[in-house]
Amino acid sequence: MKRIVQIIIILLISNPGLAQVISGKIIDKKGEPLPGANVFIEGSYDGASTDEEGKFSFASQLQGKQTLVVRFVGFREHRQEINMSHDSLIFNIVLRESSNQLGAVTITAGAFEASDEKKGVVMKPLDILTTAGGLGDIYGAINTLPGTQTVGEEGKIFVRGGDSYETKTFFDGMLIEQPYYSSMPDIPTRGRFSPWLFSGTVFSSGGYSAEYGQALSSALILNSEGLAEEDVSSISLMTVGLGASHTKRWENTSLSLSGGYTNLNPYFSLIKQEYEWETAPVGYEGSMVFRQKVGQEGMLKAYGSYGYGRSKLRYPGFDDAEELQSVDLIEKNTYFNTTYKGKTGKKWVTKAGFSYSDDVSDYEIDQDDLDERVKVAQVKYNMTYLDHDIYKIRFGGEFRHKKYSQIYLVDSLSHEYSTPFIDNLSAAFTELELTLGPRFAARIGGRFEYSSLLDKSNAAPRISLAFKTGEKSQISLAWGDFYQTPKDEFARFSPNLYYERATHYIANFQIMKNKRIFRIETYYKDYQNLVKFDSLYSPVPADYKNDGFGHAAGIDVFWRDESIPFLDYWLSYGYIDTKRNYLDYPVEAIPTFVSSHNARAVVKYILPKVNSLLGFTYTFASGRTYYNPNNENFLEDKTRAYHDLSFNISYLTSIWDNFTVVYFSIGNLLDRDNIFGYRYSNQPNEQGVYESFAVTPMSKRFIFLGVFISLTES
Amino acid sequence: MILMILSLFVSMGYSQSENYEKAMMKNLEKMDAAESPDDMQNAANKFERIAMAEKDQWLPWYYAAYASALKGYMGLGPDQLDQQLDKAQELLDKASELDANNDEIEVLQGFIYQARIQVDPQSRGQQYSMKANAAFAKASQINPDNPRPDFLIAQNLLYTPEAFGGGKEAACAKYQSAAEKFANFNPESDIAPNWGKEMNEQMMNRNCK
Repeated sequence: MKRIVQIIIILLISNPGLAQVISGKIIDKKGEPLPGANVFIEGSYDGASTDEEGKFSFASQLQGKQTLVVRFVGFREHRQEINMSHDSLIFNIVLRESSNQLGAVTITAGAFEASDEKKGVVMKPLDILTTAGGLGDIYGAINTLPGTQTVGEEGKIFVRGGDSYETKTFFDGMLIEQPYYSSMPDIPTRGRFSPWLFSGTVFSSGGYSAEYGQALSSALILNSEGLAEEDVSSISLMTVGLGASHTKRWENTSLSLSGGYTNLNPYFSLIKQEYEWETAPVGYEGSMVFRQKVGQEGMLKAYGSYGYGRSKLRYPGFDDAEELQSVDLIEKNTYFNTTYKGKTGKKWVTKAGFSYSDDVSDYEIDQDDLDERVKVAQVKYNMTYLDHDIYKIRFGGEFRHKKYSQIYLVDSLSHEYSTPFIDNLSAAFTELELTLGPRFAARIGGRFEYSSLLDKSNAAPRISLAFKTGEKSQISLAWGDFYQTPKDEFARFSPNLYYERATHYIANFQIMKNKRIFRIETYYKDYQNLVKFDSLYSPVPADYKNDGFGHAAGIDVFWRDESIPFLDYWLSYGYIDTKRNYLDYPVEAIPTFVSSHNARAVVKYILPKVNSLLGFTYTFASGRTYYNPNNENFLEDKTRAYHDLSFNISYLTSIWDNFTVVYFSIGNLLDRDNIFGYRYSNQPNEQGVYESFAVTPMSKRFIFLGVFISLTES
Repeated sequence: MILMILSLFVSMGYSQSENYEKAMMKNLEKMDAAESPDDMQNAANKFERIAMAEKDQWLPWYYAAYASALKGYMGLGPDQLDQQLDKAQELLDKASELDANNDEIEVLQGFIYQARIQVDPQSRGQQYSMKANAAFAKASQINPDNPRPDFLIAQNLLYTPEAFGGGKEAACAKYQSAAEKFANFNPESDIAPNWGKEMNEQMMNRNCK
């Protein structure tokens, strides 16, 4: 008993005497001190923060071997074993920067990214909605970025000398077969998906990841929103239709249902249309968005939609431009996808997805019937291994089953042409992302595809690199091969074709400073194996060959400034030199969708006093080539330049305590008669001249008015 | 003899927990007295050290997150603010791992979301207000007597235009409701969250008279 008391007394007395002072300095790789770092002995309260000079000092009574830990924002945690019985406990520690810190290098060659969460991106989702002239369409807003062409009669995106079919859209990683509504001749179409669905958008004008295939020129990668925040109902009243939606949020689940009805009849009766409509576009649509949180970090998403649309137009005939023929279109589209993303252990991320689409487009052209139906089912699976700071390895596979059918009933011949096909496309990819410190990053990958229809495979290597050249600036390079199965309209006649191929070379410089960004990018693209034929719609397989080719070279410049309060603007300019010999081109020529110079200015200005946001978009495109059979030289005629100034205003207010946005948009403030090109009759008239008409916007001036009301409980 | 050893263990155990509370109290005072971002960082670091030592206490993580978020309000630029809030979020996530259904953690979550708005009010305003309000609603659901959700909602309403249901009148109603709850609020312990009362009074005096 006495001894125990003695021991206790000894322990009590001796303890304070054993306190050791631990001190030192925390610096970064350049030797700069790091103030505010947390230095401590693991499992105890003993520790200190570093001062202005990166120095720290604290006392501890702990004995024996201990672990000294240093933690600091933007740097990797440092741990080291120390022995408290040593005489000298002075530590000078160099912290290594964490690669996910602010301002770390990112691969930017080719890519424009819009995100709420990530830092240092070029665009935000809200920008898509508030861009004048974009009309709330994702593709309309993307069309203000450099690298895109102004092709007003299509409404689709054409990137860096590529045709519109060379750009593919991915919804949570799943390839969308029909991203646009089916279109009428020379009437611009729109994207099917509402920009509200997505919280992150990457527009890549080249050099994209090996995860994405079947796109020769460009990938638009749309990532959908997570769980809805709260219960909300909304109503939209527009000059072109009505819509309503309801969202319900539970603890780990959310569900949104929405429906819309479009009818352009009232609008067309007010605004004079250049084309003769027998039935203005009318349609309805319903969609569902489901989210389920699975465990700590897993998320299951599902989206489904069904849409129906009809329109009927009287359009100049192919044989005689004077004589109008009627084009009647009924489209029914079903789309569904579901994806799961979750963590397996600490270092594996799994992504899995399934999608299904069924699109029926029935055209009636005078007495002839053209019914097209495309069904696609896709499964995709990705695994990513993350060693959090240095490297990431991703690999995955996908399988796409596509069933295409077209039935063309020619009334005058009483003959039915049926051209169905089935294609099973299997693909695998792997990619290594290396981050060597905050100054150098590399992405090296490859993609392999096999198409059962073509009975051929392709292997596409891709490499991207990025280096920091200064604190806020970087250079990024990309090179890669891109393959695409020939378009359905050729593949259905000729299954023995080869994949079309493009090789991209891209160099990019970017500087971001004080809410200003400047980017300049130069590229060269080499096209091989493009489909060529002598006459369109030839049913003879041997008439289609892969001997088309082409090239595109250019410079894209982008400047955005958000540093001025209430003002935000961006300027983009693209110069392109491109020629190709494909389809039925007799010689290498500049395709009709290309303007050598494209310039856009987007300005947004907030008037906080009146809760309004004003937007202006100016679009300039130099003249485009058009085919004139009266000219012996192929595609040597050019239209005059295109100019457009669009304006929009969003006024935020409340109607009976419900948050309301009133949106008004108007195009062509300069009152120009814009011409996209000319169409010629197939046959010359009596004087031996081919007659033509001009392809113009649908109406001289587009006007849109909408009221969007959200009804929340609070 | 056995009694002696037992009592020794008991007293050791007691002293450790006493030590924890003492350390927390001392550091809470430091946090309240912080005048510069550096002072606040020191307090946050100390809470983080306590948190790393006390494996099953959520409060030190909570305060480390709170101090980190407060530092964000001490004059950081937008980029730094975002990074600071990332840190606060990371610390708060640790707290919620230990206690998943906690009104105070939800309150602080809403507070961090509100701070995110400062980085880019124009594009983040709506989204993060919604996120913050959802967190406050959850906090009130867990504990309807917690005054902090009303106080923070009032802070947001004060700077929201009247057209969107904000303005002084709406804010004052919430400050008032918060004040009533503050008057009846008894923290669970000396170190349990108990902030906002003075600020609520100041804001009422300034705006609601």
